[in-house]
Amino acid sequence: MPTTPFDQSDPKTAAVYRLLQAAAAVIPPGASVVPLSQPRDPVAETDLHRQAVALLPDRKVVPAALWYVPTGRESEADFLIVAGPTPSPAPGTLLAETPEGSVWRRVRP
Amino acid sequence: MAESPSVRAGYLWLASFACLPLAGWPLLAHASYRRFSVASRIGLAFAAGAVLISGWMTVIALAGIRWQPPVLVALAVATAFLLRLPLSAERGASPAPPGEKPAGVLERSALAIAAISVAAAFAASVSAAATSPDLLLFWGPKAQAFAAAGTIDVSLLRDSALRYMHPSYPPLVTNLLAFATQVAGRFPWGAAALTLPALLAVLALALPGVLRLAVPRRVAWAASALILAALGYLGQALSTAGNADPWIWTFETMAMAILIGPAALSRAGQLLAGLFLAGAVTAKVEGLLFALAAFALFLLLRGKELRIGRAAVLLLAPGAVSLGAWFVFEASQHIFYGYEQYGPFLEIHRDRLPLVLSEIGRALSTPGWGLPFLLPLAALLLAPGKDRFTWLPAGVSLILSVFSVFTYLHGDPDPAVWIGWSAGRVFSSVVPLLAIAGVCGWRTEARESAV
Repeated sequence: MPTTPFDQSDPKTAAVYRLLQAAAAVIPPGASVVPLSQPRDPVAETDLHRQAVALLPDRKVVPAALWYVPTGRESEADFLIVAGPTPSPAPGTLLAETPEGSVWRRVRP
Repeated sequence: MAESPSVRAGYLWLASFACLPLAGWPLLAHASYRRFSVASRIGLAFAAGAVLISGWMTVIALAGIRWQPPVLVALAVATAFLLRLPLSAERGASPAPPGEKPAGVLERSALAIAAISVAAAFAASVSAAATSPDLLLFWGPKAQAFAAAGTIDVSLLRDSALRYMHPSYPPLVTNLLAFATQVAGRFPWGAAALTLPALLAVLALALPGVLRLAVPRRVAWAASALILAALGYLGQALSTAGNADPWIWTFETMAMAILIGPAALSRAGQLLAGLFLAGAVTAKVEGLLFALAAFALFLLLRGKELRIGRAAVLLLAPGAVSLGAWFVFEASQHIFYGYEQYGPFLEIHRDRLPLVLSEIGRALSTPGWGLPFLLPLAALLLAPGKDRFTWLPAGVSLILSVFSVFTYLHGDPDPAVWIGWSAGRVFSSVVPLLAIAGVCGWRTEARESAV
């Protein structure tokens, strides 16, 4: 059975879907979250924001990029979803990790 | 093993669509519609119920009242009963199609092809091979936001960061997906893709019986099979599962099938066609052009057989109310005025015409070597008889096609990418129209008058 509705029709979207599903399981409703790409890419982050709006409906999704332009608003979010390799240094406490990326809680000083 | 909450929600979400035929059935149960088979009336009731429930959702949102699914269904049922009133004079005036010999194996094989086409679309959808990316980008998010808000979510539609969700798109699809989401308590993404086979199944139920009134049974069944096979294939190849295309295919195909037949001369047929035109105009932007073109050509070709004023009211009023409510809502909430455009209307880049035409040709020849488009065209060109009614679906096809080319001459300096991802779906509406144009040469009246 497919793990997402996009497994065959759009494998790239399916990969992001799996990551966002994993994020939805660990990010509480009402929390703020920013989806990022690793390496950083405003085109990918625009798409990530749009997909996160769909799959994280009860959270405040902060855009790292809008219309393919960086917003510089990453610091507003308490949680980070990183699509791609695990970032270094770690941006906070690791909450979940999948082949597609990782989910973090930001540690504020 | 216990089912997960999301799987249970998916079943409930899909089951909620049973409210649509229930809402439409009081109308389709009227004696005037007994000319259609029972299976056909179930499919027609689904589409009529969809229009009524969605229409009420828009009107209730306009009134500032929160949606309650039982109330919406009750209002739609009450409206379906009220719509029987103008039909009272026609009681008993509904001849069934002429009797024919029992169908043979070859004739029945058309029904088998239609069923296989629906099953193939189901297999593609359930195996995640047909899902539209647009489901994730806007149909799904809008539906779940509307369901959570219990109305059309103005803050979502006004958010400039979310303009990719096309705030001006007409409301039927998002309304009905939100209705199911309210019933299920969540938006089940996998189940949403199954609206493709579900709507093809609705078409498979309704279409043979509707076409049967106009043409011999074997032609009606064969044409239905061709339409379902072509749309079933395109549904998967163009990744339309979960988005608006299967809805507009259903409404446009049924409306046109009624308009070419004898039912279009009755109040009952005109009212039903009017409801489906309302479905088309509120399902997708291009549905408005379809409805206006179909109405104009219907009057042109069949005007002498009609009471034009009454036909105009029955055919246009449902769409005017449904789309009018939406336009008033979006204007009053300062969301949008009318529809989004791809640049100023008359700012046309004529020099791009060769590029646009070649890219459209490339886009249409990609799914199945273009056969889903070529086979209905062949059915039209090879039809044995020529009938003036052919010009109704063929003319609408031509108008839709020319307008699509006109649209692609706007906006983006290099429309190749735009055409590549959109032209197949934009032109898919033409597929059933060409097939219906092909059956017009077989119309019973045309054949009789030719003898």
